[in-house]
Amino acid sequence: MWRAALITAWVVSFAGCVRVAPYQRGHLADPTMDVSHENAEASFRAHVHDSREGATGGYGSSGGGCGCN
Amino acid sequence: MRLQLRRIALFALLAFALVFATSFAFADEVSGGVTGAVMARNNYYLERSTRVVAPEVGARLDFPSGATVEAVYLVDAITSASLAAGALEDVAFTELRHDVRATLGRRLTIDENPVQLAATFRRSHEPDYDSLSVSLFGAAELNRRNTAVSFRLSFLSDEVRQTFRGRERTPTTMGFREELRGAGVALALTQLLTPRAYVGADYEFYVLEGFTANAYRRVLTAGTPLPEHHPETRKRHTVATRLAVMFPELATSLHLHVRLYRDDWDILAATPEARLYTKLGSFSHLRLRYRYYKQGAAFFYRADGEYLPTDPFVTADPKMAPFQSHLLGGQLKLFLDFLDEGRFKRLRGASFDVGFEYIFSTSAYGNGTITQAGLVIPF
Repeated sequence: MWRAALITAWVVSFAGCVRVAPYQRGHLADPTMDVSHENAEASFRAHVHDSREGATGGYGSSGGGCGCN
Repeated sequence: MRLQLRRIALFALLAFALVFATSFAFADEVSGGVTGAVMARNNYYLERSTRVVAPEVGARLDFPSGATVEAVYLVDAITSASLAAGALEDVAFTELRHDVRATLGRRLTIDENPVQLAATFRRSHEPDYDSLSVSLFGAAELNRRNTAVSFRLSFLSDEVRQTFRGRERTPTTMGFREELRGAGVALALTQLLTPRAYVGADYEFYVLEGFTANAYRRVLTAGTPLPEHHPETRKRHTVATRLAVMFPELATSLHLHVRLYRDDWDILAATPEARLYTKLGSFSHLRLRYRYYKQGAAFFYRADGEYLPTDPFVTADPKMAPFQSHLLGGQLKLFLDFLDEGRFKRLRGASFDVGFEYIFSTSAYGNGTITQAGLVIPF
């Protein structure tokens, strides 16, 4: 867990160091990069995983019902 | 505690209702109209002893003032054998679970930084399980939209009961009623790295308090089947990182995701995942997904299943055992942007997807499949 926290801190340290201009973001807006359109299907998949695995979280899912706890 | 959660939920919804009432009042003063999307999806899960058919429909409205309203309704038709859940008696049953989720959101701009606020209310009902949850979400894009930070606060209040799965009604099962409460916080950060890559990290802490076992499972204790008994609190920590990179020359994007999990039941888990998106022409892409999952055992789990009357906790839950799984799957997504003219031009901007995933698992649940198909139509 501490290693994970260090990695997270390392990621956070990127903030403010990188600038990508708006006109450079064509690729980032592509549906293969911006996967927010997958939220609905991901919600059901996460529910399946939550009800069959001891771990949860990390995908924005929530528990409740179906032995997910 | 249950009453407090309901009050918090009510207060949050009222507060957001006030904010959004203001938004709607000004909506007509802005020249743009209301936009949004409707969604229909069917989800299907199958494993050795359980089948779930879960159709869902949803709609989203985006108001010119920045307010958003979203609602999703899902029905789970669960057909299962109790043995699949570790019960000693194999009694087949079918249950319906109704799941309603409503979200009120608001987009703002503070110091030229886009900010998003949302409140989600979720109600899930089964004959033997009621779940009520509320979450509050906030996100901001900083550093000229190169950095995004977000948080989520979640509250959960569940009621667990027993129904009569092919057995005679007894006073014991009729009187069974337990509660489970939960609260959590999640923080996330996403940072653009280059015009072709971004990285993200999430941390989530969640605490559960109350009835965390299964209402039906029985555990052989010195030869006598006794109700499953788990600790009444559980503290869960999850850290996840992700990296997405696009290779324009190959029309391909690669997403890598690693999740590490730990809780105070001593369950440790790691979940690396890779997704590869490849464009097939201008209007479709193929997604290939591989996910590996491995977890250790809970501290009270016994591989031989031989518990003693003196054991404080007993379990027959397959999720408490060590196991690993591999998931392989693919999805084809079609964007109907080519429908410029003709009778179907209203579907321009819509998307259709169909996907299939196979799970190879060493857990007592066995292997499983997930099949999904969905249609999203914007307006």
